[in-house]
Amino acid sequence: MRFDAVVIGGGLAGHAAAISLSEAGKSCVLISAGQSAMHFSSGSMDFLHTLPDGSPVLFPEKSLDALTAAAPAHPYSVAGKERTLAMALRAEKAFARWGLRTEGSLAAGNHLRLSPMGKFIPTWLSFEDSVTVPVKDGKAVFPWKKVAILSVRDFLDFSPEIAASGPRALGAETVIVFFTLPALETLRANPSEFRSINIARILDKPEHKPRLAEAVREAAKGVDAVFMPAVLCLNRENLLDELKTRARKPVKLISTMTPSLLGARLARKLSRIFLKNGGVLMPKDEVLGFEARETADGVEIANVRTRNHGDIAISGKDYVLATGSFFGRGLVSDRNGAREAVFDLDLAEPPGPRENWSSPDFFAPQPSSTFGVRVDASFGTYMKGKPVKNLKAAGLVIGGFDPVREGCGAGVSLVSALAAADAIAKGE
Amino acid sequence: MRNPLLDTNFEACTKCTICTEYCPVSEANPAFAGPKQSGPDGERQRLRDASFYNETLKHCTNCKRCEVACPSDVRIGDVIALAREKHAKRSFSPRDAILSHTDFTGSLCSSLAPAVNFVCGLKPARYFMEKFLGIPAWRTFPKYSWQTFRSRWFNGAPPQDEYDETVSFFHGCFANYNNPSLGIDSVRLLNALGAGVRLLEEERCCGVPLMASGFFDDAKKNALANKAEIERALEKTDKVLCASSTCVMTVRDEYPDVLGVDNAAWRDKFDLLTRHAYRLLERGKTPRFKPLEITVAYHTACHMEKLGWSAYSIELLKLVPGLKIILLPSQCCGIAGTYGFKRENSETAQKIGEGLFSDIRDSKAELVVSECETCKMQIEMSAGVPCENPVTVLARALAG
Repeated sequence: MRFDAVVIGGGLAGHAAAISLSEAGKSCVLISAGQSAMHFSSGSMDFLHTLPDGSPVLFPEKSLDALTAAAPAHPYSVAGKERTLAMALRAEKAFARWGLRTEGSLAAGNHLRLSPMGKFIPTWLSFEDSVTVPVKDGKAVFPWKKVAILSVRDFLDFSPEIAASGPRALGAETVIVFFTLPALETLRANPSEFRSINIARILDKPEHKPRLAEAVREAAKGVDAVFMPAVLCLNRENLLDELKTRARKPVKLISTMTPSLLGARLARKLSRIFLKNGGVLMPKDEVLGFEARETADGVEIANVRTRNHGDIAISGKDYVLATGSFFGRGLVSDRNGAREAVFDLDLAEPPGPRENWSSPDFFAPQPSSTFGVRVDASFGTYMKGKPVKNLKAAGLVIGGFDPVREGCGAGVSLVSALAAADAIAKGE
Repeated sequence: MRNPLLDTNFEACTKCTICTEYCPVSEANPAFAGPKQSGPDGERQRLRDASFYNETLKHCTNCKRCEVACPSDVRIGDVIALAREKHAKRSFSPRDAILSHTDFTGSLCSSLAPAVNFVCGLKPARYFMEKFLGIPAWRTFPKYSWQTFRSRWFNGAPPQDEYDETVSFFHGCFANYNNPSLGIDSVRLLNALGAGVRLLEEERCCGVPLMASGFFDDAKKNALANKAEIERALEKTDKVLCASSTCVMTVRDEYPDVLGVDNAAWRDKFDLLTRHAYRLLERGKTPRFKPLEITVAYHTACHMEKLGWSAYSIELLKLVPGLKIILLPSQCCGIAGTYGFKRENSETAQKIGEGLFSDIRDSKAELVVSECETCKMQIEMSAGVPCENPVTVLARALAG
């Protein structure tokens, strides 16, 4: 099967690349090995919150030079400041165009999102309906004096007490309220399945709106805002607007432990946008092999073969590899080393001896987090030292950065995906 | 016999719960604990103590959407099916026997087709079926064909020996007993692509409705009989093709994974008709299509989603001039074979399908296209729009 572009990997980077390519008029296929880590994510997207030396980042735009000096192999450094910022701006505009209601921008600097653990974490883009706090003069400004945290009784993937510690640390008063609905009782029969998405399937139903609205209105009495765990608004985003109107107070969501509704909602939306653009999704498939040919100045991928499609090869003029890191199985390791799983592409840095891959302190940065493929400024890749002319990399499969420590996983995914799509569209 | 100590695929589950998120049944019916709990989670407990088996596993429709969603390659649907085979209480239900033994029911009903179709449309008969068999009176029953596809074939099929290659055709129960024109369309399309067709000497139901109603032993008997026939057919032809997504998924995947029938030697040769048609196209065969000025909505049946092969049918449909194709978001229609025909499931079945039915109505398509025969029944009844296999649409568009 022939396409203009073949995207391998169905996470944030793969979807962003595939949607951009389809917007540029390319026929595009997305090969996905199953649902992605977006389902575990907060739904907020970070760009850069910490430099490699541990210093915090408030304005990522201003910190890129320092990042380049400290980490020349970081994808932002490799792509260069100009391209990185241009692609970040493009991502902000794309999100608006795709109907993803987010707030935040690089121009405004990082804002803080409230995590279910009660931590305020600096980030770049958040869904409008999540709890976020602006930063002014280096300090978090909590806009409310008193907030209610309204949770579902017996819901174990979210602790209102722990979440409340965040606002309390910023001087706000908190009250904790629980509610339940008769319709939730059936779910409770399977306590281990009393999870965010299952609860949202019930709370999103129009017939439960009056009772839900009543619970929110009660909770809103005497407070400035109501925070709820993200257990509603999976399929009905305007439900929160309706609750807000009824309570006459802001009503906001805090992401929960997995499955995370805000992240899952992002995944669903991106998938629908891609299909609407005429993209072809190959769900639950995996690339098992490929054919490449040597050219005068490098290597060219001719086609890939997948588990589902067997003898029928899938070929594209261009390819984007967005298979993720170890968790996404874009990178694999054994006792002898680590390698990129599909094409065995060159890595940014050789992994070195196995004993240096991890730090004995679980919470310390883990060197293996920086493993990944070597890229050039337009996210082109290399095979045995030769450039692969028609294969770009996007997202966590790229090496040279630590998405957890630096708080830059979503940013690298979006910047690399859009830069790769841009380079392909321009024929670079 | 399967060795449970070697069958550790469920251990790959990380408890991420993405499967439950994409389970159409647990969404419509909270009494079903969902694929994670019923599948890998429950399996850990059932291995320790069989009393952890719980009858809610029968709510699973085996749609496989959990397996498609799973990032860790757990065969969740298989874990549930095997647990049902091992632990479910057996009680004989005449209704389940009628619904699932499609060869018996089909040959009986076909031989009496006009009478059966007439009676099945009568209110008192439907009342009786609901009251004594538990088949909802409002559900539209498939019409039976007076002449089966096989009997039509052996009473004057066009000659098939003048083509470059010959393929074997597994028609399946639905084309044989209910919709022989799908069989005829399959042959016409293959002929137009330069392939002659022969049938298997004998063919039995793939077994999927039998498994769904707990008749695993009968399903295995069918699988073994079909295996022998497929192997015999492959001595004469390179491929055995079938237009039904569910039969294809069952023979390729469920035979080894659920029924323990080894098909490794020929699994890749048992193929979906539109996939092989695409292959013939890539080899340079070009059928001539006349314009078909209609808008069709393509529905990805659950087992098509599992096979991952929708693209072939869609690419073929794109060859028909004038045909406008709308791609519906992939979701379950709710019927899940015989599932929706059972009174206790019928409400869940309709709830599952609601999203799809409204997408179909909103699309304003004149025809829905899907490779699944029971999706066809459900969509025609519930969305009020006719539904055909892509093979039928393509055959209709063939020039000359």
